[in-house]
Amino acid sequence: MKIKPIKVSVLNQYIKKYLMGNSILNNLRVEGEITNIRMSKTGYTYFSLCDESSCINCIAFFADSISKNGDKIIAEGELSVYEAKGTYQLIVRNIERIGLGKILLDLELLKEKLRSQGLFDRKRELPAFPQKIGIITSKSGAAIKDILKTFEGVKANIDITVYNTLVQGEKAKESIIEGLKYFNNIETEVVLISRGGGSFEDLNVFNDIELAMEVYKSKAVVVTGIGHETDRTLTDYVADIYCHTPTAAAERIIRGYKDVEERLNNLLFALKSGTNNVISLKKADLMSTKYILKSSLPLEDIYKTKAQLEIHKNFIKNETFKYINEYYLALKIMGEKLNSFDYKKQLKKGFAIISDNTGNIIKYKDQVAMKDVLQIRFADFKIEAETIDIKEV
Amino acid sequence: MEYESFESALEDLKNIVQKFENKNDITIDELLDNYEKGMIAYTFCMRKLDDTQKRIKIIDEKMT
Repeated sequence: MKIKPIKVSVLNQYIKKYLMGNSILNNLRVEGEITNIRMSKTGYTYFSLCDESSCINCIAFFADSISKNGDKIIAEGELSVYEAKGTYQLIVRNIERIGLGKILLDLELLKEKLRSQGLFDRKRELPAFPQKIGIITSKSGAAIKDILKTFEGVKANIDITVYNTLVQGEKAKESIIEGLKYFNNIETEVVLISRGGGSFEDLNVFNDIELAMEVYKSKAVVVTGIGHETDRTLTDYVADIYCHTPTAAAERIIRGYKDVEERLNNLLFALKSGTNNVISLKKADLMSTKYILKSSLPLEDIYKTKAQLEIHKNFIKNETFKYINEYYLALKIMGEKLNSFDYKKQLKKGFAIISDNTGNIIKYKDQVAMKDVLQIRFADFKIEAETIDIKEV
Repeated sequence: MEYESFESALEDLKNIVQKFENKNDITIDELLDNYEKGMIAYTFCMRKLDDTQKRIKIIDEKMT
C-alpha cells in the first residue's frame, strides 16, 4: 500500500509544528563563529553561525552594531522554519560574546597602522598654568565628580567648562567629536576626555578611528582619563597625555598650580629661616661688639685722664710757685742788701760786724766755738781773728 | 674762655705745661696769665670728665 502523497506546504507546516513542539529546540544556546553578517534596512541583523564543518542561518530582530565576521559568540534563541523555502534558521534573542580575539586583533592592526603614521608620537606639554580647561564626559557619570573635586583644590581662577556627552554606545562617538570641535573653537588650552571604568565594550567608542583622528587634529592639548580595565584605547594612544583614572588626569592638568603652591611654601620657609639666620648672626655680632665696648672700660680711661690732668695741674702750680718763690727770694736778698747800706753808717761811728767764715753774723754765744776764725768788719777795713776765750757778759 | 671740646682744652693745658718746661725766664704777667689759663683748661677738662663719668653710670644702670 502506497503512502498518500502530501503537498510540500503541508510537509513544511508539519515539520514546523513538529520542531516547535520540541522544548530543546525552543530554548537553544549555540556556539559558533559569525560569518556573512549583514543588516537589513528594517534594522534586523542576518548572519550565519558556523563551526569547522557546519553552518546555520541566523536572524536577530535587532541591530547589532558590534558583531563582525569572525566573532565567536553564543547565540541564544529558538529554531524556526521558513515554510516558503523549506529552510530552518535560528531566531537569535541575545548574543553572548565568548571571545573578542578578532576584534582585538583588528584593533592591534589599527594601532600599528596609526603608530606607523606617527599619530602616537605627538606628545605636547601641558601649559604650566592652564586657564581654560574643557572636560568632555557625562554629567551623570562618576568621572565628573572626581575631576571637579580635584580641581576644587586649586586656589586659582581657572575657567572650567564641562561638555556633556554620552560615553558609551553608538552615539557617543559623534557626541565626543562634537565636544572636541566645540572646545577647539573656543580656544580651550586643555581638553580632558574622561569616563569612569567599564568593560572593553563600554570603552570601545574610544577605539574609534574617527575619534582618534579628531583627537590628533585638536589644537588644544588632549588629556585622557578613562577608567581602564583592559588595554589603552586608541584615544589614549593619540592623546598628548594619558592617565589611568579621571582623578589622575585632573591632577596632572593642575599639577603646575600645586607645584607653585609648594614652591611658594618653600620660598616662604627659606625667607623665614634666612631672615632668622641673619638676625641671629647680627645678634651674635652685636653681643661681641657689646663685649668689646664693655671691655674698653671708659671709666678706666677717664680715671687715667684725670690722673694726667692732676699731674699737669700740679706741675703748673709747682712751677708757678717756684717762680714766685725765686722772685721772693731775690727780693729778700735785695732787701737785705738795702739794709746793709744802713750798717755802713753805723760802722763809721765805730761799730764792727763780726761774722763767721760763711758770712753769718754772730749774735749769740752758741754760734761761736773755741778756735773759730771770725771776720771782724769795720767801716774801712777788716780783721780775721781766732777765738781764744768765750765768756758771759 | 669757653672751650668747644675736651680735646681742645687738653691741648691748651699741655701747651701751657710745655711753656713752663721750656722757658727759663718768664715775666710775672706771663706767669699769672699762664697759671690762669692752665687752671681754666684743667677745670674744663675735669668737669667734662666728671660729667662723662656720671652719664656712663646712668647709662649702665638703665641698660642692665
